[in-house]
Parts: sequence; C-alpha cells; structure tokens
Amino acid sequence: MSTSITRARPEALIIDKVTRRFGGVVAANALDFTVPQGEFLAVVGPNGAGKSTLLQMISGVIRPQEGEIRLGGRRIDRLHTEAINALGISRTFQTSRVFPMLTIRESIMVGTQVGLIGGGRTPRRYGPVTELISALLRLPGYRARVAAAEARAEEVMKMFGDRLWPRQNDQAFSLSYANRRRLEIARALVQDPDILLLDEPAAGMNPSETDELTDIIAELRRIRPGMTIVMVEHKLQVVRQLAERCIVMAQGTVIVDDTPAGALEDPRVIEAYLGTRRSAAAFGKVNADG
Amino acid sequence: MAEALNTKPLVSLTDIDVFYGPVQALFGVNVTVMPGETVVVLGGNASGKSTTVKTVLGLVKAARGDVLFDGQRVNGTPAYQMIQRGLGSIPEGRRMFSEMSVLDNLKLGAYVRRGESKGELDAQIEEALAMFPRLAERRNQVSGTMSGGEQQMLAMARAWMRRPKLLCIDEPSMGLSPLFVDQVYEILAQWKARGMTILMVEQNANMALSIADRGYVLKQGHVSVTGSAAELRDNDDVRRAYLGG
Amino acid sequence: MLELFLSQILNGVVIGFVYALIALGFSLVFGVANIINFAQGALLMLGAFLTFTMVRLGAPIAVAIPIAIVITTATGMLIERLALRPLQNAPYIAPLLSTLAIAIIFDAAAEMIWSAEIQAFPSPLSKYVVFVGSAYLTGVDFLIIAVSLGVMAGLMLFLSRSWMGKALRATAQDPEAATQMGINVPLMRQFSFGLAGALGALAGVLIGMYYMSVFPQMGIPYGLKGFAAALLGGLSSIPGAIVGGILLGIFESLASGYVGEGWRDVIAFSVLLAVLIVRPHGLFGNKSLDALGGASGATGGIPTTSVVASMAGATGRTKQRVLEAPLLVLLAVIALFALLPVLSGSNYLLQVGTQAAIYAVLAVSLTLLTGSAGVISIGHAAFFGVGAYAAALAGRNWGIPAEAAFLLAGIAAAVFAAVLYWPTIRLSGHTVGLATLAIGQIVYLVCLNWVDVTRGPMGIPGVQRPSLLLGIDMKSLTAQYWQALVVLAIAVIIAFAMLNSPIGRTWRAIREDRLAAHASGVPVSRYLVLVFLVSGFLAGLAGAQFAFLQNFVSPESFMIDTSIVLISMIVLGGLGNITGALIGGVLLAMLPEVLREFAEYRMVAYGAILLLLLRFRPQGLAGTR
Repeated sequence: MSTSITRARPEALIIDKVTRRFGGVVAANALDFTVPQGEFLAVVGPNGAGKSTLLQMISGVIRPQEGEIRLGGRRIDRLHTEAINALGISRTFQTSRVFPMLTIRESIMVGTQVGLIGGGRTPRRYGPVTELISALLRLPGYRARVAAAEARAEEVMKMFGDRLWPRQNDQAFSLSYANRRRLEIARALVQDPDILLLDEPAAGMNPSETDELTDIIAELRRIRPGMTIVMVEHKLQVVRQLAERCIVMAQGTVIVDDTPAGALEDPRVIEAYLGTRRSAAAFGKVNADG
Repeated sequence: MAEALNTKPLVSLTDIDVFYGPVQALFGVNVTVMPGETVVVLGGNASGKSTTVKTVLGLVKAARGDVLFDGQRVNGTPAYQMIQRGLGSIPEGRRMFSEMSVLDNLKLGAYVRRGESKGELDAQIEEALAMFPRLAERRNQVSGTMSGGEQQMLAMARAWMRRPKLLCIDEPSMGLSPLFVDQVYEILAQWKARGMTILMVEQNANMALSIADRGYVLKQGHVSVTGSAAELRDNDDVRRAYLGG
Repeated sequence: MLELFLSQILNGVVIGFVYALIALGFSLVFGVANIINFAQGALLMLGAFLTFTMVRLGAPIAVAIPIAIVITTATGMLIERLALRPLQNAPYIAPLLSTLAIAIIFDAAAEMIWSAEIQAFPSPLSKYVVFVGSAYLTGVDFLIIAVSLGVMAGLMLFLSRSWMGKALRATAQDPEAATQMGINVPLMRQFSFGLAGALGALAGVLIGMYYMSVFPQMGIPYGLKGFAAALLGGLSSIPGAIVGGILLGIFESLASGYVGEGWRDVIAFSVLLAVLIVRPHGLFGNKSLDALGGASGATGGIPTTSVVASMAGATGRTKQRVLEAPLLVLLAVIALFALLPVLSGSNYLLQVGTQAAIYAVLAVSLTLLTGSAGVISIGHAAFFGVGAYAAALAGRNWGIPAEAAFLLAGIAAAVFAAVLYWPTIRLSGHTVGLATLAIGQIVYLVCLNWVDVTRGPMGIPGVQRPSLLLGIDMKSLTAQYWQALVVLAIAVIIAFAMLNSPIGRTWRAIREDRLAAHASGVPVSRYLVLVFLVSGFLAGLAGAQFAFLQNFVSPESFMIDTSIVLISMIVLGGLGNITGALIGGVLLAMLPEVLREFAEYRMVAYGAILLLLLRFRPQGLAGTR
C-alpha cells in the first residue's frame, strides 16, 4: 500500500541543496535537483566532479553535511545504507564490489535476502529467531519463499544471456571484469528496485560488451518503465542511447541540465572534459616562446 | 637542449604487460620520454593511462617488458628507490599528508635530499612558496583543510622540492575549476621552459596538449595513437576517447 | 575514607603513566603499519625478564635496563621482518593472528625458561618514600612519572622535528604518497615496531619495579591495558595516550581499592569495551578505528575481509581446491568413531577421543563465527566456559537434571555470546580481535573472582553426568564418549543446516564485503547476532559435555590459551569449512597426546603452527569456503 502511494507521487527523488566536503575539498556543492519517478537520468562530468559522491550520498554510504535527500517526501539522508536499500534504492559500485568467494548464484541471492525476510517496502515477515528456526528446520513457508527468490534470481541471470547463467556456480573472484559488473547489476536488479543507481556500469568494457550492456539496460527500460535510473557514466554514447535527461557536473556543481543531445553538444561540457580551446591556445604560445 | 648528444631516452617502456590480479591492465605498451621533453598519456577511464605512469614510478610491477630509466633497467625497483634515483611524483588525487602543515609537506617533498644543508632546503622552500603565492599565505595551515586547487598546488610544489630529473604527474586538473587549471598549467609551462622533463597523465586533453611535445592515446590497455601534440590535437581519436565519438 | 580515595588516585596516576607508554607503542604501530600488534605485550614481558635476568647474573640495574631495551627493540624489528612483512598481501586476518602467534610463543617460551612463577624484581628506589597527607609516593613512583614524561617529550620532539619522525608520520597518513616522496615505507613500519618494542620494554621494567615482581603471563593483560588506554585517548596523539593511560589507571585503581584487587583487570577490560560501544573514536580521537579501512574518501571505507580475495589479488591465483565432505559422509565417519569402545577398552583412548570430540564441536562453532561470518574471535573460550559453568551450576545448585542442563548450557552461552559480542558489531577488521580477546579475559576473570557463584579458582567439583538416556547408563566413560559424539553430530548437522541456508550465505556475504552487503539491503547486525547465537549455542554444548566429562569445572580451562588453540584449529583446517574444522580440531586436540614428553612445548607448537600456516598455507589443509 505504501508503495502505491510512493508511486503515485510525481517525483521520486529530491536532492535538496546537498553539500559534502572532504577536508577543504568540496565534492558536492549545494546540489539541487529532482529526479521524477520513472526518469532515466545520466550524470556525467570529468573525474573528480563529485558524481560518485552523489551516488554515495543517495545510497547512504556517506552522509551529506548540509541539505536533504528525500524519497517520496520522506527524508532518507540520515538513514543507514541497508535501510535506504530496503526502501527500494539499489545500486552498483564504481569499482565492482562483488562477494569474491560467493558464486554468481549466491551473490545474486544475497540481493533477495531483504525481500525474503521483509522490511522496508514490504511488511516484516521473519524476525531473527523465527528465521533461524525456519532455516534450521527448513519450514515449508520459508522454503517456498526461498524457492521464489531462486526463481527470480534465475530470471535475472538469464537477462544477461549466456554471460551469467552458464557460470552461475563460478565464484565471483574468478570472473572477468565485465562479468563482475554484470553480476553487480544483476544483484541490484533482483531486488526489483524503484530506483536503480548505476556507477559507471560500462567502465572497463570493450565496445561490443558496452553495446551488449546498453541493450540490456534498454530492455530493462522496456520491461520496467516505472523504474527510476540514475547512471553515472563516462562513455557518452551510452548516455546518448539510454538517458532521457543528462546532468553534467564539474567541481561538485551541476553545470548543465538538459537532454543528452543538448547537454553533450553544450560548449561548457566540452570545456569541462577537454579544457578550453582559448586558454589552451594561450599556453601553446608560452610553449612556443619557451 | 641544443646538444644533439641527448638521443638516449630518459625513460623507456618496452612491450609492457601489467596485471592487477587476474585482470590485465596494459598490453605491450611502448612509451619513451626524451630528456627535456613533455609527454602526455591520454585516454578514457580504465584505459591504463595511470597504470603506465605507475609502472615508471615503480608503483606497479610489469609482468613482461623492460622499464629503463636513465639507461638502466629498473624493473621491480620499488617506488621509493625510483624517487631516490631522480623521479618526482604528483600523484592522482593530490595525496596530501593531510594532518601536516604546508611547510611539513614541502619538507617531505625534499625527503631524499635530507642530507643537504638546512639553509639550502629552507631557501628552496621559500622559492617554492614564491612560485605559489596562495601557499605562502597558508604556510602553517594543515593541508587537509585546504581547497582542492590549493592542495594541487601544494602537491606540485612538494614534487618540485625533489628537483626531479623526471616529473610524473597524474591528472593535475582533476576536480579543479578552470581558474585553477589555468594556474596549474601556467606553472607547468614555466617548468617546461626551464628544461624540466615531464611525463603526465591527463583527462583535460586540450590543456595537456597545449604544453606537451608528444602524446600517447591509450585504449583498453593498448597504445592506439601516438604522435606530436599538434597531430593529436586534430585527431578525432582523442576526442572519441573521452566523448565516445 | 578520603585517604583511601586519594591514595588510589595517586596509584592510578602513576601506573597510568606506564599504560600511556604501552599505549604509545600500540598507537605508533597502528598508525604506521596499520595493524594491531598483539606482540606488544610480549615485548613488554621480554624487556622486564631480560632486565631481571641480567640483574640476577650480577649486572647493575642501570646497565641492565638499557641493554634490555636495545635487545627488545631489535626483537620488535625482527618480528616485523619475519612475521609481518611476508604477510603484506596475505589474507586480512593473517597479520593479526601472526602477532598473536608471536605473543603466544613468547609467553610459553618465557614460562619454560623462567618457570611460570612470579619472580621478585629488583626495585632499589622503592625504599624512598614521600608522604602526601596519609597517602605516599615511593621513589619508583617518581621515577615512573619522570621517565614517562621524559620519553613522551622526547618522542614528541622526535616525531615533529626529525626527518625520521616526519617520515613516520607521513607513512601513517598516506603510505602511498610517502613512497612517492622516496620514503622507504617497509623500513618505517619496521622502525615503528622497534620503537614500540623500546617503549614496551621500558614499560615492562617500570611495571616490574612498581609491583616489585614479574611473571611470564604479564604480556597479554598489560598489552590489553595499553590498548585500552590508547583507545580511550583516541589512538592518534601523545597527549591522548597520556590522558587515556591515566584515566584507565585511576579507574582500575579505584576498582581494586573499593571492590577488590581481583577486579582490577575486569574493570580495565570493561573500560575497553565501554569505549568501543560508546565512543569508538576515543575521548579526543578523530582517527578511524578501522585498522584496515584507512583513507576511505568517496569510495566508502569498509574493506573486503575475504580470505581468497586478498590472496587472488596478490598472486593472481584464481582457483583453490576445497575439500568439503557432504553431511552424510561426516556423520558416517562420526558413526565409525563410535565403534572405538567396541574395538578397544582403553580408558585413555576414550578420554582422548572425548576431548577431541569436544574440541571438534568448538572448532565447528568457531568456524561459523570467524570463518563464515568473518568475526575474528579470540575470546571463544568464554562461551565454552559459560556453557560448562551453566551445566555445572544447573546440577549442583539448582537441581536441574543433567539432560536438561545441556540445553540450558547451550542457551546460556548463546545469550552471553549475543550480549557480550554486541559491541563488536560496529567494529571491523582487527579491532574485533582485540575486543573479543578482552571479552574472553573478562569472562575468565569473572569466573575466577566471583567466588560466591563459581567458587573461584577452586572450581566446582562433583558435576553429575546425565544418568539415564534412552535407558542407557550414561555414567561410564564409554557412554560419555558416545554422548560427546552425539553432541558433535548435532553440532555438525546444525552447522550444515545454517551454512546451506540463506542465513549462512548472508554470513559469508558479510564477511566478503560488508559494505556491499549493507548496500544490498542485508541487515548486517541482525545476521551477526544470529551467528553469535548459533556459535555460542554450540560452544555451550561443548562446555556442558566438558563439565560432564571432567566432573569438574574451573576457570583455568577457559583461559586465553584455549581460545588460541581454537583459532589455530580452524586456520589449520581452513576457515569456514566444516570438514576443515573437524580435521583441525581433532588433529590439534591429539597433538599434546602425541607429543606427550614435550607437553610443556604445547603452546609454543600451537603458536608455531599458526605462524607457519599463515605464511605458507593461509587457506588451511582443506581450503576456505
């Protein structure tokens, strides 16, 4: 019931004048924008612009020092990471954080645990001791829920074609870089989140792998149009193909907020990435003189 | 550098492979830096550009290939010894000794010169501070409380204290406002004009190519393009490396 | 009344200065090498005993002390070189357990060399006394204060002025940047161990003079107190260490004055726990307590604690062979062992077999906690002890039948584990090891001192075995052996059920990457409490079986030695692997029987096995799961 209320709201995620400093370095400077429910938002910008810090704050890994983050009117920036996840925000990490010794199947099943015991979006189903006894005695109710979760995990694994499914019993540390990223995305997707945060999902993938991932996310968009996606990504063609809106960050602030096509043609963006031609020319002169 | 004698590279990487655990980061990379040259390594995220410089610094070990510095094979030499041999480093993300003052950071920059007289080192600290007036105002400030731009300047001044034969720089413009980027490059251009040899990794391609003599573009651990700064400036591959075409 | 108070405060301040010295050693190593050094206490003991020996051989004490300090410094640096530097890329628990193994080897070797007795320590200054009202200070007290203040001032100058000191601080703040300044970071780490050794030796000598005695087991308690002081002061500053040391000294001094001398250490270790719960950054500290976390920045701090991840990262090896027998095979093997009484009537064999079964249960219980959930527990003997006492008291004092006492012992140990280990939930990395060690010591000391209930060191005799079970007389040794095997079978079944359920999978996920587990919505605290409960329950069953086997319970069965033997067992077998735990448990339980003539070398052997395994086969015999 509460989920239907959340979904009826026109805006899913509000970033309200959020600031975060590390010592004297400002990683997020009064960030202020709204992500409507169901939007695919891409966040781009050069290294050190504060993109990852933004995702860390939304997911509760680090806390903003000023400002608020709200989800459907509820303030979430003081909540613990796992509580934010239980509200329906799932994420991947910039440097993949897989569970090295767990198999692919086990890793994805970890994502289902919160749904299994309930809490957050769903009513609490199992208290700690009830779960302990249910697991120990393999009580039918618990077993049925685990079986349902397994089925869901299989469904998600199969979304990635023959990348994850045939390797489901391989341990995560033995996977290729690209497969670790897929595994992380699968672990997030199995939770059927309302908001999916992707931190550079295509980093380290070659062009064909990148295309493949782009297709998977596009397919996901088709199946779950209501899911909000916030994606930090350096590969701008991925952004062009997938996102509906693109925020460009530099030095902890939003410098452009537009459609991907508009944002990526904006001279300020090119400047942020490649530097200004004007001052570059000036140094060219110094160079020639020296 | 008018002498034609200097035909021997100061640094050369030959057919370098580097692995992080099971993941290969560099595939047969070749890079050379001649004395007095400024060379830039460009590339997108995870292209291996930082790894290239880290290989020179001895921070990562090449699984295959040769690393030569000053004519000697230095494969597997630990980083602190490479610094003693004459490298200077401005690390990615600046890496301040954040609980120490500006002055202490600068002193540590001259750690390998600790045998020299105190007067000489103090004089050089003053010289460094004169180069960066913003640091001079903050000489006793704890470095971690300074802004990103100020920290970048301190990292530069700290490396300069080493009087390096070769200065390795990893992403000097990362996270900086255009004003600071301009200042960083102004100083680099001055150093270059004074004959310093520089190997840098940079995302800000236009800026880097404005002071570089030559450049390499890395893509997924391979060198995809190499050429003079002027050639690279008009090369679409460079643009594509960042903006994805 | 006021006089007692004043004199306790004075005593506390004086001994507090010594704690501050130990604390500084801890903080230095923690800061520079990023590990918690259990061997700090061993170095303290070594310094004290070297001085003691030289004086006994006729050297003047003023000559003996500097020589002892020099030797201890060198030993500290040698420990770093031999036991820690080779482990740079080893699994995260390796360096911690390695220093623990060193501590045990030193401890046991000292007992062999100098006997386990308390030795009189020369203290020429004790005869000078100055009265402060009715309280008094001796020459030793003044010496302690003067030496400590002098050393701390010197250390402060050294760290802020000298090149070496600056390099040490730089290494502590950012080792990678320090390397890029040309600083030899491994040498700095080694140097910090040397400095810690010097500080420890000095502290050991001062303690010897203060109490006019030394004993071989002094290392661990004083090491823990030094850590408590360091933690209280925030782990980062010299003034913090002084204040932490003095506060701790005053606390425990008041406790010994008003509650009883036996409670002195209980209070000290409880302060440690209280700080961990209430203010893990200490009173003044801002440093992260996470010994592995270091600079976290925007990437989120909590590091992986995976055994294999760190190994694969270092070696590029991506496959390991794991020996894991199915449940039915394990149960069949246990059933085979049940035939032993039929084949041989030797009481000796049955006794050893029962012991081995008890240790196997304990190893299974610990491998769930430390191996599967990644909570390094160096206090596991506590729950074994709680179970044993619960079973003993149930029969003797409360008239509960022995059959029910089993269940009671398990539940009591489970509840104790959940309550006592609760403070460790917020900790990660090596700090957990220290906290659990403190918990183990607290439970041991309470058993020793709470004479009304536990009868203290005399122990509880006459524990009645279960009389009748399914019509079988359970009083005989044969029956006890079978009973122990049944307990083992139950433990194995429970462990299997847990590990192969979503709960076990969640434990392993928490161990592998706690941050990723949080971000995947796993309520981490809940699952840690569950592992405390299950692991505690099994340890409690083992405790009850132990009480019934011995007919007697006393605190010395639950000393830290037992906890360390258990750690060695699960590391030997392979962390998180039940088959491995059984193999390791049985092998190491039999070891003292095999080496009967060398029984006194037992703890040295355990320490050495642990040390060599960590270095050469961190995945254990059967492999990690």
